[in-house]
Amino acid sequence: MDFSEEQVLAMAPDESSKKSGKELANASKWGKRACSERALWGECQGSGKLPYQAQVDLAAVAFKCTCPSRKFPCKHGLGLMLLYVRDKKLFTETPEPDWVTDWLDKRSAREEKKVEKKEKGAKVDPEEQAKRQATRLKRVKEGMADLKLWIKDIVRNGLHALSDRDANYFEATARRMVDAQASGLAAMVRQLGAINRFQDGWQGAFLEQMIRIYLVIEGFSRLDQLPENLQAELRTWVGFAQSQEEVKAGAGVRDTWMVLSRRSEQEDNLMVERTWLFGTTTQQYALILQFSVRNAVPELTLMPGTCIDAELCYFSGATPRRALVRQQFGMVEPGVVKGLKNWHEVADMLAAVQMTNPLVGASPVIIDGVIPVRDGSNRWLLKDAEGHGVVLQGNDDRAWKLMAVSGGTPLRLFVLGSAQAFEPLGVWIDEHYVAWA
Amino acid sequence: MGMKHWETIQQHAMLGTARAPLTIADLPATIAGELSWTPIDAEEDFLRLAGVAWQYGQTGRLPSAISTVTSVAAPEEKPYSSSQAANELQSLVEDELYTLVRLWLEYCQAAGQLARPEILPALLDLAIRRPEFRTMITTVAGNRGQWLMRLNPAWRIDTPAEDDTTVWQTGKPEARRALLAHIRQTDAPGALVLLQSTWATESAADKVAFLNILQAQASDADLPWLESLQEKGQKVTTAITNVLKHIPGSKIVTAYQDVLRQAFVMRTGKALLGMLNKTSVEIQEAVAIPAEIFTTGVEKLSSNKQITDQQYILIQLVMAVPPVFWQTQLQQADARAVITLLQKEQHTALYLPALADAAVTFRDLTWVRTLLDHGDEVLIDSAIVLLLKALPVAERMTCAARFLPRQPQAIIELLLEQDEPWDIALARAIIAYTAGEVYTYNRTFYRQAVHNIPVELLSYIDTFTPAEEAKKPYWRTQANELYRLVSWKQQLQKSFSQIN
Repeated sequence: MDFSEEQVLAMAPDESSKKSGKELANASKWGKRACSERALWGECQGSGKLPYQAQVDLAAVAFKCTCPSRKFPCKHGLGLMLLYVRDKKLFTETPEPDWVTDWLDKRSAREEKKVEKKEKGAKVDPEEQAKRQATRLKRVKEGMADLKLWIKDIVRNGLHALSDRDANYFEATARRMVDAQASGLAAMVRQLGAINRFQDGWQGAFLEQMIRIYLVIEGFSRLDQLPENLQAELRTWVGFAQSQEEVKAGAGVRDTWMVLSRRSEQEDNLMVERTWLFGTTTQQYALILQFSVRNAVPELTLMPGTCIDAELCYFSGATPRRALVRQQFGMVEPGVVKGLKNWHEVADMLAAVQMTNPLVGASPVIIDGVIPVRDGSNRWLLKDAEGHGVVLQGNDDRAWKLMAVSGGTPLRLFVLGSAQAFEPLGVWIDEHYVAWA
Repeated sequence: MGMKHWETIQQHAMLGTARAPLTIADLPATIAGELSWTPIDAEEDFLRLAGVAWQYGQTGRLPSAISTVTSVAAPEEKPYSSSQAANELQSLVEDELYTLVRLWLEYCQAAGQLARPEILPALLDLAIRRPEFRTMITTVAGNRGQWLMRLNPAWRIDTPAEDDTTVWQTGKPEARRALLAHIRQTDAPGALVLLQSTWATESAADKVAFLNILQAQASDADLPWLESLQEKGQKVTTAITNVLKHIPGSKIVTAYQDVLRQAFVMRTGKALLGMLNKTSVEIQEAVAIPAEIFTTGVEKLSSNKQITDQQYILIQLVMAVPPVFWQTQLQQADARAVITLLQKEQHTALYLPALADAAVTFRDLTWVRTLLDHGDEVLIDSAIVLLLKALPVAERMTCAARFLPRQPQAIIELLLEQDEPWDIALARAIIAYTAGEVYTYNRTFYRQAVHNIPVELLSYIDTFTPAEEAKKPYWRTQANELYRLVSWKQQLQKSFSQIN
């Protein structure tokens, strides 16, 4: 499997790791450099007495290094892989040393253990569980009643009255929701408070978020009248988490999944990594969320632009998107991907999704044949072959890059958005996908 | 639902239901007609109605018709460079390794390739920040680059190709100077004709700048015009004199030669009890200097106590006459004989460094080579850089390696200015020196020098090490940087040796 430099760099956790990784992509920094069919490894002299031992699992793309860095992958892993991508001849093919074999074996043993664990399942006392759930439900409902009152208060006084409200006004309500064990609603309130009320058009965004919260509250109060999937959707929005074991116990979808984008963001004390996948046979999208605290290593390393043969399990919901990787069978060559033909097709698809799930957020879309254009008021648009368009979200730099790639000719893009505004996250250049997340 | 209704709902939201309650009548009939409506309270009614309206808008919104039309970039005639090369350029720009960026652009141009479209924005941004790259960037950006420059005013660096006459008549001062310099190199008389065509209308500053350019290929052909010029301004007059001083047949140089003829006289005396004839140069330091000599920039007073005023005047004159003059004047067969003769005695050796200046001014390579081969220590120490600079590149490198231990810093500085890469012998000699001077030659130096350092040096980096123990850790860091930079260069050469 051939990797590109941009794919390796796309895995860097931040800009400084990218830079340091590039500096370490220098043969003189590596005392030993070797590879086998399934891995590559090397020794890099750091500030310590002994050199750091870095290794990369080429089959499932994973990194390990003996350096004390909290970042993952660390600069050594990135540097080693970049060097390999640039010039494979710098690596001698040798049998794996013990420290590499040990790690690779442990990784496969861990995979097997996971499968065993799944098969065994955990023993739960159903009576105790029901009792706990009933207590929680009561707290949630009480919290929701308070939240509804708080929203109605805002509606009565008008959004203009928020001008003298600071962050504490929202944070106090968010904490009330945390106390009520409704962490999902707490997050929704925090998002409401995070809307920049000095930016043009904030009222629309604020109103939309307020409506979402109201819909969750109202929907949850009528939960038993709703279809099962929508119930699961609402429970997730409120903050009832589905256990990973439960999800993995469900039906799996095996496909060749193309990694379309990977983005990491710091949320409170957590690093949240969002990776979008697209099943080339099932034509389904999947969102893999990975949460990590400092020092923790995300379980999966998915490289944008590559394809994996894997079985995924979706979390329940009205429009299942979030998924877990139950099993990976290795990397495969990217297949042909086709997108929707025009924005009308996208609108039809989004309307169908919205009707099933009124709470759906930004949707992933692969669209063919769009051209970036800039209108008279310097607004960037993505225009389809029929002459219809949507607003292109994101900064000017991204738009110009898209323009450069297009040269006025149609492109196939991976975009994320809703209604009339989409953000491009990747583009196919000569049938080769490049992620821009 | 149109935007108007959603705006109405937002206006109600701003004012609050206490002042502006939202009713079903505020919704478009298409929505209101579908609802079975029972009011609850003003706030709940607002949230329900706004919720329905928002959902309706989300599900029913169609893409807008776009009338904006974008032109299509013209197809390219040259092939694109590889995506590997594109990644490399991106990294080099991000890491601000501009010497390597320059190499990338040179290699791309030499390979007859174009930069891939995805890196054009970064490249065009660079062209704005670094004007020295503009010409090369315009070339490698191809038609797609031109197209983008037309669309984005921030990238408008391409000036329409103009003919020489237009540039000369209406161009900016820098463009006019560049044009004159170019023509002077390729067609020296043509440059003179061009300058004559507008001389009367040029400003004093431009005249001075143009005359400085004429110095480069000054010849007897320029004399009639230059000597006929009657300029009022002091700066322009001085600039004319300076050009005339570069032309052997000029009146100024002839006047200098006349004085030197009287000052430097060959004398034959007897030596070894009258058995041998001894030839020596006698210097008439008290020779009369015509007053007009001092109007040509020759200074009267020496600032060096070791040199008298009269000697100083003669040194200035020696510097400004062609060195071949001395072969005739001192009745010697060649340059080497003149040098040997002058080296014989201290009072004549004083004038040798001035001969180096003269050899360079009059582009006399025979003399330059002879001075390098047979000049004494004083001459080499005072004129080595000047003499090396006058040599053709290949010869300069061979000579530079020989003289490097004498004046390493000045010679390295000179060699950094040349565009051509150093040969491996020279590069090894230079790095062997800089490895020992870790405080003077740091990362900044290697980042600049990578342009000249050949990739073959990679195999030798481990062989360099400073003698002093304290410098070794510094050198290790710098050696790593050097290795990284030269590896980059090797990588770039590889990327451009294969077309994607």
